[in-house]
Amino acid sequence: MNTAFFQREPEAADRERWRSEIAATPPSSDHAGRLVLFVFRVGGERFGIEPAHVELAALLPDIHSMPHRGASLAGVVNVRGTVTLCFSLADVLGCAPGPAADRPMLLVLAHGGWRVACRVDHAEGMSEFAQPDLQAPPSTLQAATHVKGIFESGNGPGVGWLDMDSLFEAFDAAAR
Amino acid sequence: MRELFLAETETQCRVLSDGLVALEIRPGDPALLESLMRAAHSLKGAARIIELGEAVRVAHAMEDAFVSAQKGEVALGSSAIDRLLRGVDLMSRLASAESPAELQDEVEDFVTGPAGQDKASAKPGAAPATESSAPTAKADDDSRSLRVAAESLDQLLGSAGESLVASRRIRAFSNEFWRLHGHQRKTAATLESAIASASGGGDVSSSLRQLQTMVESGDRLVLASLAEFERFERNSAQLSQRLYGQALACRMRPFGAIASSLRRAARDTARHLGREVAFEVRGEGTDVDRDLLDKIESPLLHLVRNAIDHGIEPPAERAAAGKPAAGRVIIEASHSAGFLVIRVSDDGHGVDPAELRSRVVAKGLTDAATAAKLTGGELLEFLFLPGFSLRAEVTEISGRGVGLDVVQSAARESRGTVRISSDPGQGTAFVLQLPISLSVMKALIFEIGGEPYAIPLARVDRVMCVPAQAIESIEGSQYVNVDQSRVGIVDGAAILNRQLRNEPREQVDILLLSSAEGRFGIVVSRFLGEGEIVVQPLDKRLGRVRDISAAALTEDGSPMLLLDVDDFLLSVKRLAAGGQLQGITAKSAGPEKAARQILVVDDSLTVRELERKLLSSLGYAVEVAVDGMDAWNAARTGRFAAVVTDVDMPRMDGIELTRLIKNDARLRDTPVIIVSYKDREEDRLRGLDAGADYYLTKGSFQDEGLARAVADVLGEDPTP
Repeated sequence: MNTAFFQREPEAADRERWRSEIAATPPSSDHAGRLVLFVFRVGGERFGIEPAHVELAALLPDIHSMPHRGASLAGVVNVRGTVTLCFSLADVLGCAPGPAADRPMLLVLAHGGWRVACRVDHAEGMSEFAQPDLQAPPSTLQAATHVKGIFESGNGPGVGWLDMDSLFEAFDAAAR
Repeated sequence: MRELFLAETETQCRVLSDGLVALEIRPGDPALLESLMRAAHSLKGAARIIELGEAVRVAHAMEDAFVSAQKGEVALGSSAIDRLLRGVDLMSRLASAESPAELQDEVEDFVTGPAGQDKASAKPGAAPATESSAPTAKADDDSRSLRVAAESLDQLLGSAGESLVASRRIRAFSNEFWRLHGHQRKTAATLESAIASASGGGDVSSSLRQLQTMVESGDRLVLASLAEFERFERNSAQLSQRLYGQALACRMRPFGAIASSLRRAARDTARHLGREVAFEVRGEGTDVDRDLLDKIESPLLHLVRNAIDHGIEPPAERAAAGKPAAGRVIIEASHSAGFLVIRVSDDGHGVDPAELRSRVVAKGLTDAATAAKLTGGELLEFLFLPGFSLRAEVTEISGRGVGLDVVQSAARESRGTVRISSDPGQGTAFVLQLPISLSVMKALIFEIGGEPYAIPLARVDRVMCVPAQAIESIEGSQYVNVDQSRVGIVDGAAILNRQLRNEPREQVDILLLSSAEGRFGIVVSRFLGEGEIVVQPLDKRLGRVRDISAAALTEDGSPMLLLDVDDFLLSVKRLAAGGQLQGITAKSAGPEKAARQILVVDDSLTVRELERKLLSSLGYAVEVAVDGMDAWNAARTGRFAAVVTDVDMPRMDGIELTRLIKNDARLRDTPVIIVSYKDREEDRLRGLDAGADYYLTKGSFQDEGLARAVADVLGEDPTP
């Protein structure tokens, strides 16, 4: 990689353009109560995770299954040279089946010093939500135990905001 | 030397102060006392090596205090802990002091001090530790720092830089391909116009000639790129190999790196005891994984001291036996069959089986009748019991119970084994068999159920490819003929619970493995070849997975799993015997009451059989397991009414087994009875802390202790 490119002084014209762009962004007070989540689809359901917990999203590589373990543990995958546990989010969250995955993805999540991979059916990318719009999950929802709440969304089903503590506890239980 | 001591003091003093502070919160905790005692003992040994008399005395005094506390003679109250902490500070000052003699007065004061030890007000066991006592001071493995020779790192960096440069050249190839693509397009266009004019009846000979030149120049372009590409590929492969080797070298150290401390230990011990010893270190160039070397250094030092102290006779005695005055002690490291083998041997008086037998009986570990039945090998195993010594008096060198048990646990922690062999009158040898590296291994790679698996090459007997009709079958079990003997075969997919492929095959790939009990053939989907693999531990949260020991990556970067051969063979055996066993139990189960199943776990065949016979005679259905892991795999099925287990076993000990059972929501009500040779109070507490319902010593076979305990935990009337 040519690092010199990134280390060079920016051109005066660029600097002026950036200054005006930044000045044009809405005042930061508007950001209070707004939340950016990485949104993805598993089966027929949509979920969101704070981007800080998503280390990598990539095309799904080969998963090697793990003998003598349940279906929640899909197996192990190679994440940048490290053999990493891969969970089936559909199984852990008990998702209703949805449209077949045209582009299954691998998400690498990290929380509390533990890094795991999981298979999702589609990664949509970042979306912004307003905190006040958060609704309590219906008690009938199977995945409800791992969801802090649901953001209604114009396009498609609501997005369940995943509670990382609870999700990683479920991973931990599925690993054993 | 002094620098090493300083580093060791730092480490041990940290263990000591952390431990002392924890001890104040959990008074009398046996595991804490044990680790404190060991830390003081190690410090004493280290201080002796650099001949720092003051430090030896301080450490010795501390060790004494912990030993007395272990025996329950004193309780270490706050004032005693204050004093001991002062001792720890004194110790680190001694280690870094310019002239330790200046601290003489303080040392004197500490050693002779009125102890400040509270009289034993209560037995330490009276207030047992509330939680299972985890080892207190363990460095976090992932965030530790390593010392790597600057040269190794520079080489590594150099190669990494080269690799970075090389990767940029790939860009040039893609440019070449684009050029080639443009050329192809042009050729195609020319061809098209030639075809158009040919269909119009025109003369195409000049077009054809033009096309010919274009194809030829295109070919030259391809050939030039190809030659360049092949050169690049070769360089790149070499570079990667070098990078890998250099990265690996950062992990390895020559065995000789610890030779000087071994020699020093031998010399000092010999001088201290007035023995004449010719000490030799062989195989100094043998590469050893640095983590492994760190782990085994102090056990090896102990084995050397032990060989001189317990093995080599005083000069006069040797002369009388017709041996040369100087005893020989040899430590040799070598690579053999994929293992690092370290052998510590002496030509001393060896271990007298009769003496050992009587000592075992005298210590009440077993009765004379059982002792007489123990084989030589089983007898020698007693030397690994903590606190067991053939020596009656306690010396500064050994005989204090910090000993062979430490060697054994260090070997097990590194996935290795230690064995003793002894020729009475001729000498004793300790052989440690350890993995060469905790990370790299030669392996055979194959597919089971369409997924890659690997097995250490050293454990593979043979691979075969036999025509399907060569497989014969008797009473439902299949076998093949190998060297005129029948070898039972099992489908690997069945063992791993993978989907069985029922498609007919003309050829069957079979992997031959053998254990002490015999040979087995494993049917695999197909062989992929052999290679060096970099072993990666599986995520710790996975716990132990049956049949699997670790993971690695294949050449194309997809994950594969490494089979645990011993586990796998046990599974094979169970599967092979499965059909038969089920048939028998189904028949013998009476209509009125099925016999309750008890799992007996012990690595000694003698003890296992004794227990099995005893319990069978009481009407229980007994199943056996040879170690903790085997037992855990069996116990998980939840079909046992009770588990009777030994403590010291390979792979997984009885304490861990007990803990696993008691922490499992489904199994926690299964009673566990521990039967062990270890009869110290702290051993008993360790067992009960883990959740055992009973802790019996192996002397209890004859006095019906076991029978009573079993009847009690099963809530039955005591058997008359």
